[in-house]
Amino acid sequence: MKGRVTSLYQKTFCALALSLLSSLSNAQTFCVFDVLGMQGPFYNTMREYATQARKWNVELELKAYTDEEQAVNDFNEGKCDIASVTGIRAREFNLFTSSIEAISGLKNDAQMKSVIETISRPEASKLMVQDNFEVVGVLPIGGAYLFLNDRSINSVEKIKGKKIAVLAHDIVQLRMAERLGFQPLAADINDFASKFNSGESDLIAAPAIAYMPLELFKGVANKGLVLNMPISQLSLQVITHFHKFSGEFGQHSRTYFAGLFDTLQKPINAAEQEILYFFPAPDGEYNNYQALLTDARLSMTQEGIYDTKMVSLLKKVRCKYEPTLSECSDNKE
Amino acid sequence: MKKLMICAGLALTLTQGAYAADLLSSKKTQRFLKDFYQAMQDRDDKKLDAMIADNASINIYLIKMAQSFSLNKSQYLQQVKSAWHFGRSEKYKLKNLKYTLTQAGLSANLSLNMDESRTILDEDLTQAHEMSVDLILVDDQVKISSLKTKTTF
Repeated sequence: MKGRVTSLYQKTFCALALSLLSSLSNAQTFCVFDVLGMQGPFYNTMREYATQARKWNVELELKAYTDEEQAVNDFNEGKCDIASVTGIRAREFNLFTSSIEAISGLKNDAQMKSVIETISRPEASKLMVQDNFEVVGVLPIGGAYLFLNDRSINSVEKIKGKKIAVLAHDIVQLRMAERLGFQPLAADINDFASKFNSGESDLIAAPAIAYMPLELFKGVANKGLVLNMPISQLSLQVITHFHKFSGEFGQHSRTYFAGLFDTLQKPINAAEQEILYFFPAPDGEYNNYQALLTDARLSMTQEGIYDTKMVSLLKKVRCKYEPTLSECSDNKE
Repeated sequence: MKKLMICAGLALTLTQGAYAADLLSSKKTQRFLKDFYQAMQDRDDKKLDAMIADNASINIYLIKMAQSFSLNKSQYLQQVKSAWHFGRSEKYKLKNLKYTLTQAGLSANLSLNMDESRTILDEDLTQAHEMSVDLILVDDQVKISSLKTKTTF
């Protein structure tokens, strides 16, 4: 009797193990970039996404990356079937979606929500596929703000020539720095914040969610300020090798992420509440800053750095929210 | 008709009398401001929120840089709360309070000097403010409608 029970257990265990192996072999590898690895908020969001994906008969096996370059390399080499990367890195896979981060393209999270909803509709699905890649989700990271270590840098004129730490691999940041008159200081993701906190660079552009983890208050200290005027809206983008997923997966996924916008925005808004010395542009300077940023966007679009279709969509959204803007009656974008 | 007019007149007098009892006064405005900074000291953000009108304008002029910043209520409260988060041992000392009643007590202006000190990001900071505060009555509640400060911040 004892032997028969043991045999039954063995058979059951073998069946379970085989079932597990079978499901693992069918699983798609999902490379998730999160500075905080498996403990990070992006990884957590993607874990919930993986649960949702099972309902679409897609099994995702998550792999955390704290090094974004490595995640992108592994995705390019086919080690990952799907990856989540920042909008900066998404540029090499889809110029249209990555241009959502165009400088001063969107002024606030309501406008970002509007654009994400628009591009996540089935009518926009063709634009989400470029070459062999499909963008299956665009998630908000929040506005990129200028962190300054000296609040006497309080005008467009004074900001020119100041050293800004930029990610060396990112042509958009380098061009932006040049166009805005900054002196770019090459950095990578590991020393980007420390260059600012140590005073090596005078300013950096970063989202609010980086403020506490990267201790950017140390760089701002008691003499600097954070300009409460986003220079762009940042994103996280989920990209697949198009042919590795069913035709319906992309649309299911985009609809899912678009519906998460408000939930994803909450920690961003909470992070913005924590920023010390978070000041709007000095009186009389807002329009000067906006003119500078707009000029930079226009010239970068002409250079082909931004996608013209996306830039045009961003303008439509800006004008929907503020129809009185002077740009709403011109044909520049 | 005469009775009706008398009644209407009486009602008006009674209404004005009841309202007049809640008009701003020197004592009331000064107490309000002291309460405001006590709420700051107590880190009572709900009380501060209730003491500032939703459409209040806040203007901070930095003397050293000759530069001013205009904030709305939520931006101002965000700054107050983040200073609490990063700071400790804050103290507010009010002096030279002067008030002017306007609109027959429906609004008032207070001018004062305030010395503020706190330890923030491991640094002891002191700031001297020259302030002008406008108060209004909203639904029988005194609220700040405008706060202007020239500061050494």
